[in-house]
Amino acid sequence: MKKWLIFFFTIITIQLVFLFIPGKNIFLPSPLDVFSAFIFQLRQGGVLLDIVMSLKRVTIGFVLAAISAVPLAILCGYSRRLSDFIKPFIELLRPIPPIAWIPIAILLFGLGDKSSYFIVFLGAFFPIFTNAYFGAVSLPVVYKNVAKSFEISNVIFITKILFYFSLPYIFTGLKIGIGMAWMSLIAAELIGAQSGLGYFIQLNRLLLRIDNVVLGMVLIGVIGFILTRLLTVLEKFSMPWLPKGK
Amino acid sequence: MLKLNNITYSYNQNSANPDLLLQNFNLEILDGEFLSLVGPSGCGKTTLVNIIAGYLKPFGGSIIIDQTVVISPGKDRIVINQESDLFGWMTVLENMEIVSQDEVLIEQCLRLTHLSDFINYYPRQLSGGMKKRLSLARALAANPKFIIMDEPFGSLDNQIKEKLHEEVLKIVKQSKKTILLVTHDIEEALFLSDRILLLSGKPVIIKKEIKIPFNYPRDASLKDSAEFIRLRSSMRQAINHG
Ligand SMILES: Nc1ncnc2c1ncn2[C@@H]1O[C@H](COP(=O)(O)OP(=O)(O)OP(=O)(O)O)[C@@H](O)[C@H]1O
Ligand SMILES: [Mg+2]
Repeated sequence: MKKWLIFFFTIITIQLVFLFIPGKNIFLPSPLDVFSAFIFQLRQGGVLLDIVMSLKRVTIGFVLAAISAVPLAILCGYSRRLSDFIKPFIELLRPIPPIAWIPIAILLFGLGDKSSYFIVFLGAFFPIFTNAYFGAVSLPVVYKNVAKSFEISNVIFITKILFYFSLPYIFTGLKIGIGMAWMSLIAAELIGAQSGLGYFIQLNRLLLRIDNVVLGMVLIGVIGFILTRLLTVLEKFSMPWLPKGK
Repeated sequence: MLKLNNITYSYNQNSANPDLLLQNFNLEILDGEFLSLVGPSGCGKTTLVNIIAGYLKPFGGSIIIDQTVVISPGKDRIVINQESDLFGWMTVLENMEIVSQDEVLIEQCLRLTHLSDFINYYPRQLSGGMKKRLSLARALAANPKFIIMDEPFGSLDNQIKEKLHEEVLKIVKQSKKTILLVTHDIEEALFLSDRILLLSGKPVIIKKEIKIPFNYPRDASLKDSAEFIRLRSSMRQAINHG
């Protein structure tokens, strides 16, 4: 709670600074300007559609990344031969920033939503894969031995032991991944989209509506924060065996 | 009967003259007996356990169970480890169900180890003694012939340990399991075993074999008997002076 009080106090201070600076020839909008731009957008509905579009894209791209990266990482953690095959590709592709893929994405998928899904996918895939893989390879030997002695089948070993042991690492990957996904999406929308929060910023830049530009930025920050928070809640909810706390 | 036949092992496999941890080591565990191996830290007890379990392949020699050579790990011989080997993300019941489909047997094992009322607990919510009992219950649920315990009581305080000794002894005798216990606690070995082998390293040799004359059931008061005290001091001497 305390940290939020400090935060609001800071915003109010900034607003006061704006009030006491004489004249209206400042380029940046005050917090109040941004707030009234928000109210206006709410009434008129403009930015809401962009939010919905961005959320749809980030959700689809992120879910695609999660359901492909997690199983692949767990299998790589299980099978040395598979990981020897997959890891070189991962290591070479991972350093390429998602936005560098935009020309390729547009060539492959055109200017529509599919390009955005692809960029979001790339942003989220690597952190999820890397963390899940790290979890899977850190399974203590004692669990492997127990599984061998009790003659537990490979399928059960992978789904009931390796996966669940890796789950805390997977969630770390998902939380980093959603942040990367969101950032990549906004970057993609700034360049090649006809809707979404990135597009909203780009449009208002051309219209010289800096209050809307800042509003777009604030919304990106708030929504990104909420997305990560949602995963934190899901994380607590899905691992009841971990000690509660913090 | 479980038999180790000329087992040889070393951790540095590549060097020209590997310093052998085990060299032509022989051991026989008779059906139904409680055998303890007592030896100093680092002499190779855990290595031996890992070889018997099938986790490590010996350089030479063989492991024979009832006239058949065994190579890979299996349900016939289950290890209870010093560190916790329970699946932390599974409840007590789920920890049992992953090793056995036999609901009746699972229930029976949980009752035997006094865990029936805790089936929905996670291992984190159990005490140290309860965790060990769950490891034992899980081992029993696989219905193995042999249970191998590698310092299972090491991390427990004395009071809990003493109680657990009595309980474990009752359970394994009731279920007629053959037990190999690895420990460096003389008193524990004396209280639990039919037979004790004193080991020394390197390579591991059997320094002394002690047959324990006490009948079952045993309870903690046995430790105050003259015979127990005599055996304990003779073992301590054997360990300290070659
Ligand atoms: N994975 C390994 N690689 C190389 N050396 C090892 C390995 N594991 C054990 N050793 C060595 O082998 C020797 C025997 O180890 P082991 O764990 O079998 O001893 P122990 O009798 O079980 O000891 P403790 O009573 O402390 O558990 C030790 O000197 C140890 O350093
Ligand atoms: Mg050991």
